[in-house]
Amino acid sequence: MLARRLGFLGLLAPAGLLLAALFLFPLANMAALSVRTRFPGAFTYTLEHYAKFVTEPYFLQVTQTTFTLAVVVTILTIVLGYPVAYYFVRSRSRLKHVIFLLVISPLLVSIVVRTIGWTIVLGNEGLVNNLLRALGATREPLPLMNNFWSVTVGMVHVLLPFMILSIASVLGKIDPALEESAAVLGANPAWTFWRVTLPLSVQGIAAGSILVFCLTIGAYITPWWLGRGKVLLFSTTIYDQMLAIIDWPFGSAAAMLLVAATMVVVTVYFTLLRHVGPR
Amino acid sequence: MTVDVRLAAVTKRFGAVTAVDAVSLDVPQGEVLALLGPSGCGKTTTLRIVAGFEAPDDGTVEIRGRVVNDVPTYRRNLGMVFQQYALFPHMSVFDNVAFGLRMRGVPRGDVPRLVEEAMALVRLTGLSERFPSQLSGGQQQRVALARAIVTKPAVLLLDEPLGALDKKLREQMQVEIRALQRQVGITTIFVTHDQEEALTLADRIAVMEHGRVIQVGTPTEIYERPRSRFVSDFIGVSNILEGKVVSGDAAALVIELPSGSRVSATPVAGPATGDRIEVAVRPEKIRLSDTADGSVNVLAGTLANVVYLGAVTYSYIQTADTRLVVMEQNRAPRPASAPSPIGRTVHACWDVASTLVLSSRP
Ligand SMILES: Nc1ncnc2c1ncn2[C@@H]1O[C@H](COP(=O)(O)OP(=O)(O)OP(=O)(O)O)[C@@H](O)[C@H]1O
Ligand SMILES: [Mg+2]
Repeated sequence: MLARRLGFLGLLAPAGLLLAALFLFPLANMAALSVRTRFPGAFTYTLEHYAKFVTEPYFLQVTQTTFTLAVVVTILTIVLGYPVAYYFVRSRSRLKHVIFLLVISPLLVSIVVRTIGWTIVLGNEGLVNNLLRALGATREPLPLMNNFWSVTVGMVHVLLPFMILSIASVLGKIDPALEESAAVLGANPAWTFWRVTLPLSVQGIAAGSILVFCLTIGAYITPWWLGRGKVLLFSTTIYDQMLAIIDWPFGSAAAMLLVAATMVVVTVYFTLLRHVGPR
Repeated sequence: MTVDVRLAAVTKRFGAVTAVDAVSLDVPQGEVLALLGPSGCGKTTTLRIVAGFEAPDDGTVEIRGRVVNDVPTYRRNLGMVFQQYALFPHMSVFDNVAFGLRMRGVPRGDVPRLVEEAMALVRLTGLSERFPSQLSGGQQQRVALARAIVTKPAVLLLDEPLGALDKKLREQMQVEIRALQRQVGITTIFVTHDQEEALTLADRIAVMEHGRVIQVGTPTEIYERPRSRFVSDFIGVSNILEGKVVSGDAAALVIELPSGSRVSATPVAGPATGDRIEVAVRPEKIRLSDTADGSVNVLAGTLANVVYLGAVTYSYIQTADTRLVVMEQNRAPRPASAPSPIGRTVHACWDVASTLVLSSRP
């Protein structure tokens, strides 16, 4: 019995060790850093960095923008991704393999190429603005870059595959006979979706949402490139504090708060979702 | 007699496969029709066309006199039980059964009573609050049935409804479904590849092969008067004899087997003297005796094998032309041990009317 338990633990050991070395240890280190008055050098323990973060309007603004962005990106990926996932799972067409490639293509392209691509599309001399001007719709270029929405577009683009694949994996396990059953019982397609398909795929939406939400909150390069200092996010702030201002204790405190806030949101979300979906 | 379901020359192709080939069927009100046939013969596809899940490439589907080719499933007023039941896993038993009522806009106040009635019909009470995963296979089957009949649909469709149950439970459910169907009188089409299930449940059986309906009739007609070798083989067991018609007059159809032995059949229109012909004899229609017993049809042979199955015994007789299988009821008490009869000469005897003409060609 005990031997078997130990055997199972053995299976977890490699991943566990890796996690401890690369994640838990640095995290603990950061936690320790965040309560030091300064680093490097002589120090005493303090909570002043945390106090500073939660009292300064600038940082509250950053927090708000970050979580708004994560929520908006998550919602958009659900709305855009769900139909694609559904098509992907139910279609008998041969076209679906092409669609699959298109779906995961953002993951195959390097982040730099992808973001520069969006610059080419959205910039002042970009595709959209040139087109609008050629059509005579605008005279001055529209400010499509360096704002909340350009960051949103970039994030949705790269995170959409995660949402689609998460939803598709759950949708694929739903027996089509359940939807047929609903139809026979008199449910039109909208009701069938609302009462059967959607509740049964909630787990996929949940998994996808967690992925997209956390990846958005942690994203750094895409917001930096498509926001250009106009969109101030948690991640870029931590980066600035650590590497530009070189205030490691304060950066660490910010990072710890980010981890805590994300965990709270994720827990609340999962608790809410536990009440829908199959038993 | 009103016809509840009518298929007229319905054809469905999947690429190169013709799954359903010009099928025409009438199902009168209150009848139970079985679609019976081997795997891949198009039974499920036919049922799915009636349900509206598949659109026929040709032909029309009528339900209660209305052509429904362009009517979506949810407006066809059907009930259906799927092979794996397809109960909604996220809803309680009550909500599963109530689903159809709610979709049809039945007043809120009536729903609990109607659900209760349907549950009583399938003899399932007190499980309303459970979820499907908390039920046994037989209970799920009953919930699926209750859900299908609670809305009093025009037609009930069943696709191998008992396929997932073990033999004992399956036989019990067959009897119950039959009783239930009689009670509510609902027109029913069900798919099965199990001949016994078809014989037990159906008023009429449509035998399918390669997408075509090759014979429709009552269980007795199908069993006693199969019109082709396929039907006679698929429903029950048959001894097939091939030979030549030597006289085809009004008195009797006499067939000569390759060995020169002759057998007689009731005359039928078609075969003429000299035609090649195929006839069948059911194993239970044959009597075994030590001497020719005076029957018109007698074939002598040696007993090659005997299989004792408790209620019945199968004997295999090697004759000059073929090996016959004979089924006898073990009516008389049998001694616990007896000398092996294998190798003995016996005579297989049967009546003229038991020779079934399957096909003939010049
Ligand atoms: N969606 C489909 N796409 C392509 N071919 C199909 C499809 N559905 C059925 N077929 C083909 O049509 C034929 C009839 O299939 P069907 O499911 O109706 O057979 P069945 O009589 O119900 O067989 P079984 O007893 O195995 O369930 C088969 O050859 C099958 O491969
Ligand atoms: Mg089938």
